[in-house]
Amino acid sequence: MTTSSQPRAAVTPRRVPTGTAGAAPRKLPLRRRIRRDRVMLLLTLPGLVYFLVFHYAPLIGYVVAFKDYQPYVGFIDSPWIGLANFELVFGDSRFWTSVVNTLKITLTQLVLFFPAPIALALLLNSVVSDKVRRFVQSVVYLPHFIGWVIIVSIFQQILGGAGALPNLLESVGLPRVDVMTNPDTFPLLVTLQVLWKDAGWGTIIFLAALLSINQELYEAAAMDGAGRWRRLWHVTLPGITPIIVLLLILNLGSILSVGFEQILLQRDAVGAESAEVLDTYVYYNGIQDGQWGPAAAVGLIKAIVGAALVLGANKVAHLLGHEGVYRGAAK
Amino acid sequence: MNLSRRGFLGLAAGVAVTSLASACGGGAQAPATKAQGLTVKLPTYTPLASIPKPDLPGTAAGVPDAYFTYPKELFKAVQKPPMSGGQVKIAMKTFLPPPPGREQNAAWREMEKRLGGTADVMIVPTDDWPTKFSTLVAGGNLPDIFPYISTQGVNNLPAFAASQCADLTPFLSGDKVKEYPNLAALPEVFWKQGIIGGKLYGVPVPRNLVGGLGFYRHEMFAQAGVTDLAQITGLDRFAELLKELTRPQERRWAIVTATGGVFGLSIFTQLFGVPLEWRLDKASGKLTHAIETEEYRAALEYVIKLREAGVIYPGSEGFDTLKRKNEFNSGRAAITYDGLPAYLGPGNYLQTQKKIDPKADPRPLLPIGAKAVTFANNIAFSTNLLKKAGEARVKELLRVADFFAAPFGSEEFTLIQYGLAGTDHTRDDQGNPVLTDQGAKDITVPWKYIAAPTQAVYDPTSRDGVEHVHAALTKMIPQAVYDPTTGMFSPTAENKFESLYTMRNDKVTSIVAGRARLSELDQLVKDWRAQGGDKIRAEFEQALQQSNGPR
Amino acid sequence: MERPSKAGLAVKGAILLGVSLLVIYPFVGVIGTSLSTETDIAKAGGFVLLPSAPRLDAYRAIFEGGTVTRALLVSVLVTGIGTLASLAATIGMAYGLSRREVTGSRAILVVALFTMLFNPGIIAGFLTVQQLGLLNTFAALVLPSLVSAFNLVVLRSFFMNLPNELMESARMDGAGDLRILVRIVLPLSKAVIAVIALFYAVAYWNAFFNALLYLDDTEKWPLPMILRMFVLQGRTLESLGGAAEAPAPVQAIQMAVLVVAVVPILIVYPFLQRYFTKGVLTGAIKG
Repeated sequence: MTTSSQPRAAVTPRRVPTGTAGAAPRKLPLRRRIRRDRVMLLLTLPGLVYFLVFHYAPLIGYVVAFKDYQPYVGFIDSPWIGLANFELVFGDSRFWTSVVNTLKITLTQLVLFFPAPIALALLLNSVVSDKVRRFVQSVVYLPHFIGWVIIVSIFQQILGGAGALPNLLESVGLPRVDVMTNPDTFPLLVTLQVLWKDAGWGTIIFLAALLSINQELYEAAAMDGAGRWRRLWHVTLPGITPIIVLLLILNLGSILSVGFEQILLQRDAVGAESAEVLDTYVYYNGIQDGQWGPAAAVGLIKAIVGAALVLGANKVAHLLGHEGVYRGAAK
Repeated sequence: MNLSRRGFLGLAAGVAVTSLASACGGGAQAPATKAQGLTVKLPTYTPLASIPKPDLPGTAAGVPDAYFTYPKELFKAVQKPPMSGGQVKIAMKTFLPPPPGREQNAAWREMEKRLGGTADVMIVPTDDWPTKFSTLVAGGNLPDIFPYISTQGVNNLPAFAASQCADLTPFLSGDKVKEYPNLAALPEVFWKQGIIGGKLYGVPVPRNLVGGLGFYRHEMFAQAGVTDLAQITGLDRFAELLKELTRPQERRWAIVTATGGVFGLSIFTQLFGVPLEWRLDKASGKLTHAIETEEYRAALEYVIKLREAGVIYPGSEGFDTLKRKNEFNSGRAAITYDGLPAYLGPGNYLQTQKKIDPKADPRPLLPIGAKAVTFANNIAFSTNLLKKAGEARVKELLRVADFFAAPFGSEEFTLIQYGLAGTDHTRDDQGNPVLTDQGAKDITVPWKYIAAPTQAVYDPTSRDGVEHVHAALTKMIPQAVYDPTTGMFSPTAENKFESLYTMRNDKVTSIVAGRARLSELDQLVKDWRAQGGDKIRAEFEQALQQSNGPR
Repeated sequence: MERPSKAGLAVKGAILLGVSLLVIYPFVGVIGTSLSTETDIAKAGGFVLLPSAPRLDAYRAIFEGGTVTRALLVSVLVTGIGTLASLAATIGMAYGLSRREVTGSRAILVVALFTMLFNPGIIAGFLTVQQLGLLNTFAALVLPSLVSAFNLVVLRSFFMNLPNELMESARMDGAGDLRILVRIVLPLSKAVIAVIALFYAVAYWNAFFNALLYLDDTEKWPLPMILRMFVLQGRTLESLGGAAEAPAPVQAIQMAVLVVAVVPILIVYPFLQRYFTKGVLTGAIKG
């Protein structure tokens, strides 16, 4: 907003204090500022109340990470046990294996999956025929609605055991390859499945972003003689960069989470050594035994790491001149 | 122990927490943190006098009665409605699709008439029950009757039971159970499943004790020259047979397994005589765990050789249950491991395979070789607990349980299984109930999981099937090995069972798959002992010492 | 504008065709399997492209219960009302936070953002809903997931990237914040609002977990919860008692459930899709 160079910005009285970068809005007393912003704040209120009630009140649940929690005793009366849950988790080599496996998978997905919807959206966007574009777009989003149980069984049907691909390989005299039980390629397999399920669905948001690019910019660029690739580079990409940066940062926040059900279904086929991830670790070494403490401890660790990454990435984005997820006033 | 001890939770095993409202009573500060033995006097087994005459009789050892047709004359097993007005809240986990509500469900209304009160049933998919259960516990919302399985949101079961559940010992112990004749007809072995912390809390839903060794295709065996399993002289011969049954070029393998199934290891641990969890040396009172035995190592070696020989369906260690069943049903495998309950009835192996190929002849696999045992791992479908209440209420709830334990061939049993005569089922000329379309829907209320009689073998569609199951049980039950620690409490086992189980299962799977060497079994045993195995052993040994007359 | 080269067109076409086939092929299998008999499924290994004798048994099994029709109604209402409520709350909040100078907007945004990371779990959430007295009410299907922080942050980002000039001139004309939202921001944001609406609608349509936790009464359950029970049936060891035929093969029911859940989305999707694929053709973007 502060990029507006229109002189009339200064005409609006209430914009004066913030209209120029570096001006200190805090000069106004809080009550006057609230009064000034009342409409905006009122619009924010329902959402804020929602977050406080349904997300912040339950945060008290994290005390379980420091307790020997029994659901029927309650979180107040369950005895404190200090950091024992964390010690238990950190001292378990299987926990560290699961951290490494999780990172292998999420980083693979970040590199191979994250750009896919963007590329597909750009490709769709460049299609001249309205019919083709809509048809393809309304086909590729469909797998998003298929549950993991069925997706895994479809992959099994094609790539697994006596599936179509191994049979084909065998019939042309090549050795059978079974990627469904191969631990080395597991991160790739998982990413491939996510690609199939969600690459099309992911285009939707980028298509909307592409639509919001000011069309005049294209015309101006064309007038300057910019070819297709240059227009892509100088108009289209900058136009969707804010949303790309935003999603990238949010993705970093979940770097320690991978689809629980997807992994759970396939974990035993490739072996825990390479397929145990944090969420399955917690499931097998806590939740199933009614041990909520270690589970809550791992959840807390995940959240803190995620928060640190999001805040850090947000900073980096600012340094690179992007908005990121949010940016403070008066910067 | 449940066949589905380690079932797959479909979703959402999130991190769960807190209780603002401590459930009733409260203040129960985790009493039982020490080992506990089996000191309760179990309900006296008192068979019913008036059950219909079976076509194939059972035995005192636990082999069930079998029937080819349904008894024509129904009898009344419960003389007086168990309730006098009022309401009972029941939570049940189920495998079945949801039933129509009471207004559209004649069977439900009839049930309430017979019960003499309102029955509100909270129906929860089996996979979701642990999640739902933990919220009910935390919210202090426990229903009057609810199922308990081992993998749930309580990590100190005796303390939970003491604080929240009705102690049934004073109502059922010894001859007191005779007040509830249908419950009294359950043999002691089932009641053992209901002991928590030295007291009787659970009402069992009996099954046929042994889960079996899986199933085989008799016609394929016959093709390979084996017309009777007794002809397989030993496990070496069995291995040869498995190789003969494998014909990759025809897309057929000897064994199909599924994810989590360790390449069918459960079949072979039984054939090699591995104990179920623990082996008790009666003289010394010492326990040895299954994975510490020579038999286990031998079984493991055997399975590794089978995998290397290519008799196990390639890649089937990644199959889900449906795919495994499918490959077995379609004849692409000669053997699969599954529980005996998956044999008879609609949608199960026998009927499905006959539909696909009339020549198909699936049968329960039987123990082979001199050392074979069978695991008593299907004793009960579940154990149901009652919410703590006053004496009169507990007695009322026990009468309700007694109602649902009405035996095969009774009016009550017929209502529970087949709904209302005329509306939900008709009877064919043999007397067999045949569900109507309405009936197929109405009976999906999980009444039969509240309590149950001992499970008779019955399937009107296949006399052969009934004979096979009865013969299999007759052979297997005398060879059954039990977990000697059943009903005993070890705090460490309570807190680490699944974790240690997963550790063992993971490593053993990797060993069979060839990702780890057999020698790593020693390291696994060491790790297992260090991470809780030895502690559990010590606690159970102590509990055994305190017990009166372990099995 | 220059025309795209033939080679470029061919490559593009090939990629799009390939991507579409990769999606369509399994879907044909899903539909095929849902219409198949036990024998077809067994022979094909679980996944049937062309059933030899198509039959609707699986669909009949699902719809005959009577519970499905009621659940469908519940789902439609919850999805409709929930999407509108969520949109209203999200738009208001995203707009309210879309101007950096608004007092406290950064703090509030961080509050919302952190909910994406910190998730203290099922029991804590359950107890909150219980304390609010929402157990066994339909509100429990909407309120606990009213605003998605992700949608909020995305929508706000779009709002912030709107051309500023229009708003400034409206403000000059004396328009208040609310008027600017209704007259300028919303009309300019049709595409992203359609996207957010789709995200919410799909989330409500597919949600079963709130129903599982908060609704004890089967008769109040929305469609996904009922369908879930049909799917889970496949794991059974126990069979339906009695001499009834199995209504349909488990795999067929599983696939039919998927079809039943997706068809309404297929019907609604084109109406929303218009907003985020329309108009791209105009302007200089061709090629």
